[in-house]
This record gives sequence, C-alpha cells and structure tokens, in this order.
Amino acid sequence: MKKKVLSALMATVMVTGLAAGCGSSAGDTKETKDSGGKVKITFMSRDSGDTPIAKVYEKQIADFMDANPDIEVQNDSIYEEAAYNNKLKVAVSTGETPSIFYYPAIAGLTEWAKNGVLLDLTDALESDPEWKDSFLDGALDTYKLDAYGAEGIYALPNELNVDAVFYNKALFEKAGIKETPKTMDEFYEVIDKLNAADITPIGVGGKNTWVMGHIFNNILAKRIGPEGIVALGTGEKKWTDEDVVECLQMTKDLKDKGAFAEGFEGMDYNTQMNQFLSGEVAMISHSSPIIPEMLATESEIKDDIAFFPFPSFTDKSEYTDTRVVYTSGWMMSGTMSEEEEAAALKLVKFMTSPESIQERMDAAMRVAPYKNMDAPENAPQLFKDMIEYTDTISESVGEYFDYDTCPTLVDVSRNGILNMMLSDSAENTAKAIQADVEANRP
Amino acid sequence: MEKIRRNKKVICIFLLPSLLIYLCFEVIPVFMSIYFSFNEWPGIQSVPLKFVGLQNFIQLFQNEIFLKSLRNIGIYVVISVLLQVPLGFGLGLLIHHFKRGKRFFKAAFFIPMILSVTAVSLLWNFIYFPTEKGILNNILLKAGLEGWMQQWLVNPKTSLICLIIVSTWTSVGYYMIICLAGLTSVPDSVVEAGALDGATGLRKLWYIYIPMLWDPIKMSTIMVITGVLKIFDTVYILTPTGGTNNSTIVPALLMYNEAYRYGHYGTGSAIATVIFVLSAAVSLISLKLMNRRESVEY
Repeated sequence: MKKKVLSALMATVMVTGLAAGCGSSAGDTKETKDSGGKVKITFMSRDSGDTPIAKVYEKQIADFMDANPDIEVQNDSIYEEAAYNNKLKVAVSTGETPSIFYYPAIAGLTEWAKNGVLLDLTDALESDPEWKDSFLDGALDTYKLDAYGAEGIYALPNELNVDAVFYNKALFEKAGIKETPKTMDEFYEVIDKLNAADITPIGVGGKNTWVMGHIFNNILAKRIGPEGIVALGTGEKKWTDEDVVECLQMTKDLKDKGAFAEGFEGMDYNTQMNQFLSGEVAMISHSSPIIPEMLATESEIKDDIAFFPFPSFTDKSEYTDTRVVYTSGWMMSGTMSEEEEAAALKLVKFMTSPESIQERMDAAMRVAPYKNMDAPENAPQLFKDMIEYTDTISESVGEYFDYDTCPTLVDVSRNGILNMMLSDSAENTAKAIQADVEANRP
Repeated sequence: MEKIRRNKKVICIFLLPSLLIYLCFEVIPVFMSIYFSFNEWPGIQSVPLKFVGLQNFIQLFQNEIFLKSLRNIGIYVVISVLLQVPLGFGLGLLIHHFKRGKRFFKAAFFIPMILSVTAVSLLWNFIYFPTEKGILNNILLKAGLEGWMQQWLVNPKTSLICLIIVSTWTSVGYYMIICLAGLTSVPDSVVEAGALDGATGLRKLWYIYIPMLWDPIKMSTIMVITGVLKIFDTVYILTPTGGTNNSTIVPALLMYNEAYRYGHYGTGSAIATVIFVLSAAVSLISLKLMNRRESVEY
C-alpha cells in the first residue's frame, strides 16, 4: 500500500510542473531612482551582441549617459526573437514595461494603447516642431491608431525595411536576361529563362513561413493596393473576396511556374540565404536590412548583387508605384513616472537626432525614415542604390497583418500560405484565414 | 548523530528549504494557472481578470486545432511508450551481458541525453533535410529508393513520426541507465537458479528480468508519459509552426502560442490545466494497470 501511495505521489510530483507555465505575479512597486539618485530608464531592442548596429546603440547609450549623468540607461536588448517577445510580454503583464522598446505591430498595439501601456507621443511631438518635422512626411502616421479606436501616435518610426527582389547579375547574364522585369509577365519570362539555363529562379526557405508571406504580401500590395490592405485589416474587406483569393492563387502559381527549388517548403531561411550567396539561386525576395548582412559575408557573389522593385501587374497600373515598406518603431511606456518619462524622451530625442541617425546609417547601413539622410560616400554601391531608391518611393504599405488587430492572423495566414503551396487550394486557404480572423479579431 | 537523524524537528528543518522552493515554483503556480484558466486576461497588468467560468474550456474543446493537438499527443505518447521503454530496457539488458565495451556502449547511448535539445534538433534537421542533400534522402537515393524520398518534416504523413523518432533517440539512453541500475539489484544466484530450472532466452526475460525490473519499468513508463505530454522544444525547433496542416501541433506548443504570442492568457492557462489533468489521469491509470502485476523482490 505504501508503495502505491509513494508511486502516486511521485507521479503527481512529475506532472505538477506541467501547469506552472501560465502563472505570473505582478510587482506593484517600481523604483524610479537608483541609490545614486539617478533616474533609471530601460531601453530594449532586438539589436544586441556583436552586430554593427548593436555596437552603435551601446556607444550612443554610453554617450547619452556621459552627457546626462543624472540618468542611467539599462540596455535590455535581446537579439533572439522569441526570447525578446517573451521578455517584453512578461514585462508588460507585470507592469514593468521598458521605457523605450520595439514591438513588431501597428494595429496590434491598440490593446496596449487603450490600456495605458503605451505613451501617446502626440503632445511630445507637438511641443517640439523641429523634432516632429525631422521625420519623413507621413512616417508618423504609420503609428496613428485612430482607425482602431485609440487616438494618438503610439510609436516613433525608427527604421524602414524596404522590400525588393535581390538578384545575382552574373546568373541573369548567364541566362541571357538583359533587363530586370518591371511587370509580372516579364517576371514570368525571367523565371522561364532561368529554368532553361538550369538555374533555380527564387530561393525560398518555406519552413520559415514569413518568406512566402513576404512574396504574397508584395502580390497583394500590387493588386489590391494600400487601401485594399487596410480594408482587409479593418474588416471592410474579406479574405474570401475574389481579388484576395486571386492573389493567393497567383502566389501558388509561382510554384507551378517553377519559380522555386524542389522541396523549398521544407527548407529553412539559412538554406535560402546560403543558396543565394553561393550562386545557386538567382533571386530572393527580401528587404533592405539584409544588405549589410549579405555584404558582411565572405560570399564571392557580393559584387554581383543588385535589386529591383517587386514587379507590378499591367492590369493594375494604379498600383505600379506602390512599394512594400515595413516600418519598425520605438514605443514608449505609458506607466513611467514624470521623471522617467522626461528622461526617456530625452534619450529618444538623442537617438533620433540627425547625428545619431547618420551614425547608425554609416555603421550599420540601416535605412531610416528621417529627412536629409545620405548614404556615406564610402558605402557599398548596393546600399547607396537602396537609399536612392527609397527616396523615390511615393506610396508604400506594410504587412497585411500590421493593419489587423487579430493576433493570430500572422501565424494562421502564413501557415495557410505554406499549406497552400503544398496541397491546399487558394479558396480553402482564404476561407480558413477568414474564419480565424472572425473568431479572433477583438 | 543517530539521535539527531531521528529527530523529526531536525528532519522538518532540513526539508523546509526544498519544500518552500517546491511550493513557490511548482505548486502555487499550478493553482494560479488553474485559477487563471477560469478567467480572461489580455496580459496587461492594469486590466483586471475577468471571470468567464468554463468559457475558456468550452471554446478550447470546440477548437479544431486543440483537438488535433490532443490527437497528435495521444499518438506521440502511445508510440513513445511502446518504443522508448522496450528499447531502453532492451539495450540495458543487452549491454548488461556484454563482457567487453560496456562503458563505451553506455556512454554512446547516453550521449544524446546530455546534448541540448537545440543541438539534437539541428542535427536531425540535417538528417531530414527535404532534398537529396538531406542525409536520409541521400541514403535512400544511393540505395536506389528515390521513390521513398520525402520532405520528411513537411509531409503531414511523416512529420509526427519523424519527431517521435528524435524524442526516442534522445531518451532511450536514459531508460537504458535506469534498467542497468535496476539490474544491479537482481542477484546472480536467482538468474543462475532460473537457468538451472530451464529459464533461458525469452523465458529468462519474461520470468526473471521483467518481474524483477517491474518497478523501474513502471517508473520509466510514467516518466515517458509525463515527459511526452508536455513536449515542446523538439516540436518547436523542428516544426516551429506546428507542421503542415497542424500535423505536429501539440498542446504545449499551442499553449505557448496562445499565451505568449496571441496574449490569450486565459486560453493558455486552460490548455496548461488540461495537460495537467491529462497527465495526472494517464499516469494514475497507467500505474493502476501496471500495479496489477506486482514486482518481485528477493
């Protein structure tokens, strides 16, 4: 009998650990000043470690603290995405929101904005017109959440991730391609020519579902335009609408046209990049932050890399100039004390001063949404071209899920697109995404 | 010294730190998680919990993905128990009879256990790579079986079993060690006496080793069940989205997504509670079934 009791007890002990995952406790007290009388604020970004941009941030924070000895900045940045998001979510749930942080959402910020987690930056921007005017026209509107029921500006645009198709000039030449494609029909011809030359046209690491998601988003932007994407996010438009299903079908058709390597659905992003940088595939669909990463490698094709905008559709000429540009911004905590808020605003203004931005651009080749920024003279041509191209963009749109408050949309749609590439139909994919949006949109 | 060791107060004082840690980091969070599962909360400190009764559980059991995750974990548990315990104990018995190389084989089979799950998963990623560059596909190609080549982790028909194989490969060494430890308590005289009575080969296994190793077998089975029911890391690394058509989605991955990615803390807690109840129920049922056959001690 004793043995049975002991066995049951042991089994209970072993299973007890299972349910512990979702418990949390909240700390109500918060220290504003450390023992030395300094105001303590926290900065949290995805740039940490040995990357060039992380080093610039560390230097700029150190410079700021030197210039402001009464403020102490704690840099809590984490590179790894899941770890970063987990830490941030726990911080928000316990009322310890970092003073300045990054989070990849726009409409998804609404709940935080409505509940005071985020600082409305409207007053701070209005009270400093020079600072407000330093942002590119319309850039601040990205984080206006009025359409979702939270009035105000809830983040400062910090970086622009400009989407483009990066290609290997040598492989294009080998396949007899003289000009980069401007329309999708020309793009299909390029795919055919590359296949005829036994070159895989586009590298896709389908296992990382965002890669196919990006390609679909570009097609969506070129067919339903920014207003269509926003309407999809606000629910005025449905995933099952004919034009959206058509976009899904066009994404699927790329596979049938031989655009991707066999088995791309099971390959990961690293494989995709290795294939491109080793000259195995001719193109990748990516955005501007990949430039410094590619140029930092030992790849022999570095000098052959160039880019062109995602092609447009001749029957949708109104969206020819629409470009996909993902904005990443800095959010500020809405639960700071007055002293902390003043210190955090001081830091964020320092970080967005022309000198600081130029320093980050020079060191880490990041495209910034600020006026009067120039690529450094000694910058690689690829980066200079990107800066020049960014200046020509007159109409842009972000990711479709940026405009939707449904938290599950990003996963469900991207998984759905991958399933569609494998076996499912565009119609079924659209139905599944629409059903999820209706079930989970707050 | 002996007096001190028998003093119940002293025993309690020495047990207290462990008990407090266990209470704070295991028991209390479990009860908090159960409490949260009856509430809705968006993960914002200033927003109070909203009591919703059984709503989270009702929605959960109407959610096709959750039902699929239960089905997947059921398959995972059954196959893992059928593979891990017999293979582990089989290896243990085999190595026990080795005259040479005992240490080498013990270490060789135990190494996967001490490797980090990330390293193991990355290793298997190379094995399951979807083209002919993948080790498994390459072997099939060279063996003239190109028709069997697969996108192992993408194909819904193969992805779950691929993950089960990874878990089995990782864990089998652990159960081998438990078996070897159990075998030290089997007296040689019993085995020799059994041999004189005609218990050789499978009869020796059935009538001597299995009865005498019954307690370690029971413990191992419970460990496999509880370990698999909460499996997360292997699935997350090899199929981060839960596989094609949710073919590898498991409750722990769904719990992580609901709570930490989607901010549905109530639903996440409800999934944690279901896993907890399921683990307790399956473990107790397994124990009850296995207790029908009492172990033998000499």
